Amino acid sequence: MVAIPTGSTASKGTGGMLADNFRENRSIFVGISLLILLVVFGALTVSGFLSVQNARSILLLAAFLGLAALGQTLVALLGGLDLSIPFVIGSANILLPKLMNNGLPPSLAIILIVLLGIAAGCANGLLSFRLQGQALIMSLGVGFAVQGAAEIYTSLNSAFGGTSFAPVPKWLTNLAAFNGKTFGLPIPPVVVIWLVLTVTLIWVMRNTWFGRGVYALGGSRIAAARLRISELRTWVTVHGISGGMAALTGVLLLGFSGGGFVGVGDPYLFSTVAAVVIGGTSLLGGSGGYGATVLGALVLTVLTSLLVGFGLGYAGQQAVIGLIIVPMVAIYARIPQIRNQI
Amino acid sequence: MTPQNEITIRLKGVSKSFGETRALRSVDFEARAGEVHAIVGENGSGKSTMAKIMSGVLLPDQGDVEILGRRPRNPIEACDAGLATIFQEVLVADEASILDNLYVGRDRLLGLKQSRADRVGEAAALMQRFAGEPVDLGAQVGSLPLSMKQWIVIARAILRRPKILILDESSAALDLAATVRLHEAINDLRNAGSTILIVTHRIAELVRIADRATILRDGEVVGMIGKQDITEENLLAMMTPADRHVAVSKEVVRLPRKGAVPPVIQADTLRLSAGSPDFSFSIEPGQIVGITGLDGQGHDAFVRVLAGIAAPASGMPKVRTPAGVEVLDCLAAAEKLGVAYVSGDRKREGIFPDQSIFENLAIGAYSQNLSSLGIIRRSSLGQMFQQEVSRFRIKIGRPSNKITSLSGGNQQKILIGRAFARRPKVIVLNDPARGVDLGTKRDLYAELRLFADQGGAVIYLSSEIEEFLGFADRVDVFVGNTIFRSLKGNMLDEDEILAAMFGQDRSQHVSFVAKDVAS
Repeated sequence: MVAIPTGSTASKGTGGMLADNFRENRSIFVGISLLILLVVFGALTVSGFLSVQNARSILLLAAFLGLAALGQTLVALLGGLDLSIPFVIGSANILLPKLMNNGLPPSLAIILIVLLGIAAGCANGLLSFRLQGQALIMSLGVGFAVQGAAEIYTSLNSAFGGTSFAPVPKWLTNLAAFNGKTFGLPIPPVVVIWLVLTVTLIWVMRNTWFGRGVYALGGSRIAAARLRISELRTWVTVHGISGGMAALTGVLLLGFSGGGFVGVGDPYLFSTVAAVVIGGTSLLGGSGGYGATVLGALVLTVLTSLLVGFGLGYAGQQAVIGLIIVPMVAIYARIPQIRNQI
Repeated sequence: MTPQNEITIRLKGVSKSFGETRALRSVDFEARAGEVHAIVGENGSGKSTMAKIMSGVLLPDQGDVEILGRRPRNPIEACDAGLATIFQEVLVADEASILDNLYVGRDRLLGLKQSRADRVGEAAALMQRFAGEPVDLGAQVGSLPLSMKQWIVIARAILRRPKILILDESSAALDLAATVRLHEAINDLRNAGSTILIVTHRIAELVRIADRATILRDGEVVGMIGKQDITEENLLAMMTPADRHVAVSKEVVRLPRKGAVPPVIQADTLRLSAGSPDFSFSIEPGQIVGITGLDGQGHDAFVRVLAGIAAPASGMPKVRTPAGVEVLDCLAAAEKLGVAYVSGDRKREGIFPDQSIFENLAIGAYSQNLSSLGIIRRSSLGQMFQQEVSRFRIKIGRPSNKITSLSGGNQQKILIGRAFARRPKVIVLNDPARGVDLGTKRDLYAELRLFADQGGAVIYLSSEIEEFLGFADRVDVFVGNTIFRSLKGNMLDEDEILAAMFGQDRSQHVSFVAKDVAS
């Protein structure tokens, strides 16, 4: 069979091909190098950085971020941004206890919430497609509306709109807690779920009409239209996935924290976009991928853990991570390519 | 003013590589004030790269570039030195007016360098001269036809009164009469002492206008010839490698065809827009039909209708299939019925700039190689890719390199390969040879002929008449949104087509072609 290099992540062995592979997968190489650098630096300066305990917590937090940023990556590949993600996460997080209190079996409640997330995402996709150019504020508006609705619903029988509590089922806690176990192994199942989803998604993006269509649309809408790639359908599907993944993240975060809090999604507004950008996916659409975002999520989480190790408070972490974005964007800036295209 | 014959631009040992592709190898070049100097070569010979290096867009890997005594490091410095470039791509701001597009980048941060009234007067005169009719300078550029956009970028450069003007395939979107007007403007500029560099593969054009020509092949200068030696034969012989060089032949071997065949596409009482006259059109399997016309006469809209991209006002075309006659009313129908489309506007509706060469070609075949779950069956795609690449002799590095690593002409070949990869029954080409060199054109004609002889139908739009001769079975000439004349057999010659394009029945009155505008 003929070896078929595809997309931007083709790899064909080693040796002489290395330089070419570097050129084609620059962001992957930069991401991996950065990750190694941070881990080595952490190991040398922070005691206990390489402990199993710390590695597990990094992987767990990166998994939450990675799951939330999955949809963000796909939307970015189309050239958009989904700012509704943190609100959907928060809404799912408070809705689940409420539904369980209302007597719904946990599994059914989770399925219902993920479906609601998908529906919100599809609505978001439809609206932001129709109002392109205003897509950013559209997704923010949808997020606000969803969260508002969730808060109204949860506060029906409670004085505390922002929080909701219910006994969280053991299996959900095990799924997402530090000391969670996968088939007896000391790895939280969320991490495994993330890994499986990552492999699946990368394969899907590379080998399906849907995946290739997302890249094609992000690269050139008109050229994609000539190939009968439906922009509306792709746009709605991608936002639907994003909404569903955000809802799932909110559900898993309940297992992690044990109590519903509407503000739990807030950090993900910045961090999902940051993971996408640090990974090297272009916000202009058409180039990058989820593999890159996985690296971005890991880099961001390791960095945070490092800063915590240095004793920085939340404000300090925020300042440093904010500043990190500048050199990262500079590294990925595609000035030479843009010049060559003139 | 630069004294006549002074050397204004000099390249010494200039080399440039893009990844594995060596675009230029130690190129030496110079041009003088008051000359029209042509830089000729096939696609991928490095001529566009050379233009970009002279304009400061690209920096050479090695070597030295001297422009009017300066060594610009970027386009702004080159511009300040007195150089203006008209790039191959039509670079306009769609949402701004013509006037703003003409004077973009000419103002200081605060305040104008030249009064608005001055500008309007100067620009209106120049645009009228180019377009051949008064032009509304306030019009938004996005809604204008491609030829007008091309005039805007040309006028933008000329309004700067450059000492050196570089034209990189800049007349590609102009029709014949317009090209003549452009040549007049070039002559005025030369007589005023400017250096004009014309980068092109359109040889016929050069023969009329160039004082000297430098020929590139595979990134190297293979020769420099003076005016008396600039002939089509000489240029062709130097541009193409010896093994590829064949005499320019107008003969095409045709297989005999059996009797009457029912048309594969037929349209009766088709109206392109509500108020325009209706006409009919048909094409049989095995036919190549040329479509042409002056700018804005509806031929472009017509091929889009045939490709299922645009809808006519009335009278949908119909396609004959083994299952019966079906209406070609949308892109889905076009794909189902086996109608493929190639656009000459590769930047806008062709390439996916972030994707690999392989992806850009194979994406055309994905929809035919899908499992029921939408999974692409890749097993046959690699072979298909190799087949198309060798069919059109596309010069590529690795298939996984980005499409933007290829020259414009090779990108176009990939897009034609994409259409062939769909295994179509009818192929609609909208000015595909724009930015494609002669060798490639000949390969393309031969492949299309072969395709037709095997029962395919070809609809081929071009603004270059000479493309049809010895190639098309019939040429439909559009005037005023309808087919003005349909030429075939012994009526199919350059003069007849030209006459028809200008709405005349016979050719006697049209005689401006190649009327020595260079003198």
